[in-house]
Amino acid sequence: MALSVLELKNVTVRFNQVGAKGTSTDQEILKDLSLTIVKGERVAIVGPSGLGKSTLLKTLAGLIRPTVGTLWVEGQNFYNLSSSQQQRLLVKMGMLFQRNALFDSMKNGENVRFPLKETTHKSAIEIEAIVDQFLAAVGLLHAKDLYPDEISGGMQKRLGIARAMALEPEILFYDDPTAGLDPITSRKIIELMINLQKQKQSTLVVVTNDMNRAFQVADRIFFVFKKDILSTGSPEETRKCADPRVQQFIHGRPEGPLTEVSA
Amino acid sequence: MIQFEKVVKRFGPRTILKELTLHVPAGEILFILGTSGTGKSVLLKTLVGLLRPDEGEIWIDGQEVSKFSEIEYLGIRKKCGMVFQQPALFDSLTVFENVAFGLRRHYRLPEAEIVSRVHSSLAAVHLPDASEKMPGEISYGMQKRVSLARTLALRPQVLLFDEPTTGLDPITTASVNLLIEELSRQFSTTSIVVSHDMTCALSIADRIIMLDQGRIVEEGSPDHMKRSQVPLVKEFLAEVVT
Amino acid sequence: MNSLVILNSVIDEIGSALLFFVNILKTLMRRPCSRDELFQQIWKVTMQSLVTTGLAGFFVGAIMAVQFTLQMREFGALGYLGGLATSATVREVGPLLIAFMLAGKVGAFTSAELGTMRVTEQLDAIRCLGADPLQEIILPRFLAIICASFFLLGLGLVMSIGGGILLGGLLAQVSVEEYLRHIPAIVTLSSIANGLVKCFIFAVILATVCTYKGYTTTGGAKGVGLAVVNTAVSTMVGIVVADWLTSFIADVAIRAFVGSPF
Repeated sequence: MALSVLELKNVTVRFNQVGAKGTSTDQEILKDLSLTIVKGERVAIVGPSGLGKSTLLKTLAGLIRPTVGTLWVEGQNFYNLSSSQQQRLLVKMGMLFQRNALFDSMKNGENVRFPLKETTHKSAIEIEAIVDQFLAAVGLLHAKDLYPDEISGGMQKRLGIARAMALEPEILFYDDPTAGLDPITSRKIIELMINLQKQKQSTLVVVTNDMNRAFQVADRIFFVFKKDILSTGSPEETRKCADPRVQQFIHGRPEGPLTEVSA
Repeated sequence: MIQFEKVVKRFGPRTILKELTLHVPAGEILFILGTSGTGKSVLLKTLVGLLRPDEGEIWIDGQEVSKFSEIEYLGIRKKCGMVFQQPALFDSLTVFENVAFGLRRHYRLPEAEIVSRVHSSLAAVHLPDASEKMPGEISYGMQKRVSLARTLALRPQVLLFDEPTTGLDPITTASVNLLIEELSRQFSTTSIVVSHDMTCALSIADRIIMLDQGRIVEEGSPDHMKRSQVPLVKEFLAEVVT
Repeated sequence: MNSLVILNSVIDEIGSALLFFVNILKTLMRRPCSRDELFQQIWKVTMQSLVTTGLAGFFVGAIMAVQFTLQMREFGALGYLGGLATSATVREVGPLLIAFMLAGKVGAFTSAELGTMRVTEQLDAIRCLGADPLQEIILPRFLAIICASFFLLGLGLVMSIGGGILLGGLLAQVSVEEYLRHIPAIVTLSSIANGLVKCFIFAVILATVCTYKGYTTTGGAKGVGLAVVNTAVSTMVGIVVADWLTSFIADVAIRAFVGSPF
């Protein structure tokens, strides 16, 4: 029995939305779902846009507190812990946001160095070595003294990955890491993520709506449909999955059970 | 219908389009594929005069347009409808007014004609009931359809699409793609689609062009592309969903 | 070397902003914008800044009253308090204050709005749909800022007189009639004209800078942020410089025509 690092039990997430006329309505994004992620596996969360993939990811990462249900991190009930204990667990997690969230005012090297300086007690020389090591790993050592807006979108993604990885987190969350990139660049970025993950034996959770990327990255695939979640297993099992929604999504068919939701 | 003759476009020290020559016959659906930053969008924007080429000639419907003034270009933009990568709808206007926007500017039409054109355009993109909604109230996929309807309402002879499916999930991608084919055939327009989705290209294009670093590295029918030995084309083919 | 490059780019920037201004004027001559859109924009700008301008005007009046009271008590000239405080506000502090207020609120808002329209390709879409963004989008906002600044100036001055009366009464026991009595005598037509001219010049600077910065935004969301910051900084600097220039020119002009500054 592998060790479960992340677990959601009967989680429901509701957002209070303020409507145009000042009316507030509760919108249920996720409903009564449970899932377990074990150490060292690579998980992809896929599904149509706007149905809660990113919400699920943020709930797993402890950024959104579920309205009902519990989040378990390394076997501990996350929201029952004191804030210092929570902090200790959060340090083990790294997140790459959809829009990179790079610091524009810092050079690329500084972008990687900054979180290291803030969260570890390593000496300046050690930190510099780590910065160089991770910039080299994503092929950006030559761009160390440039600013983020001086490099291409694909390079910014890679820089974001280097920054997230440099803290050597045990669990890494990626929110749509290849959004808007061309397929060639996307494939290289996923390759890079897998290489780094294998070296560090970390756990990887990736949200994407591109099946090619999901198949490339994942040991296990989850589909998020309207409020509920479907575990379809390995890429091979997913391809053979009998659920018509999954088949429609994989093959990108315009007609099918999902047509209405994504219209 | 459209000709590029040795078009060069530079941004500062970088040359984006390198003596690009391209002929598009009337009625064709042409896909232009390539990785990010190879000048695909720049090509479309030079065509409608949002950017001007540094060298070379652009012919649209028998007119050399690259030296046209902004006023002269208005006529070209009636003929060439551009659908932007982002929906680029006007947030403060209803869906109806968004679609009517171009009609009111380009033509002096009676209101009844505008209403009927807007409704037929919205019907063509399968959104017959959305006209009174605000852009913020509808999904991203629907916004893309509205932006298509807005361009369509002008009855252009040429439709230009800038990465119409980038960032969309596979199902929305498929439906947008299908819509492009349907509308191009229905209104017999010449369509140029800039994209990096080989799956879409193979399924609806008459001809595909692969662009790399501002140059054409391969072109031909979908069948020709499937057999191509050009490395970049092969990499794109590896992504095709079957 | 480095500072030369910066200087060069600053001059570049001022040059293109001026060209942009000329283009707006050309558009205004040739193809004026729709009246509905203009009134809507004026309403929006005015409403956005109404409360802040009113409040600021009130406190400026109060501050002036306090300052002048301290000075004039020495000379036993408290009767002139209302006239002098109001004159200073009309000539100098009022226009400057309104311009700063608008730079912070309307300038930032306008450049953010236009910048967002630029980076989401809405401005390109407008051109492709056969409309001129200068005429349809920029011009109404440009004119609205100028018109609204006069309304707001008026409001600010009235409020400042109110603030002056209150503080004059509390601090120096100057009655309302006393406060108002010398205003017509001291606040001459020339000082009102002076204030109006300044207000106009500041508003033109603000309107040009914020529409120019918004219109030429590049580079996504952070580009929009940059445009907003640049708008605030450039307008403030521009306004202060213009203030000095207009005071200087007005002074020279008055010396030339009248002989001495009254």
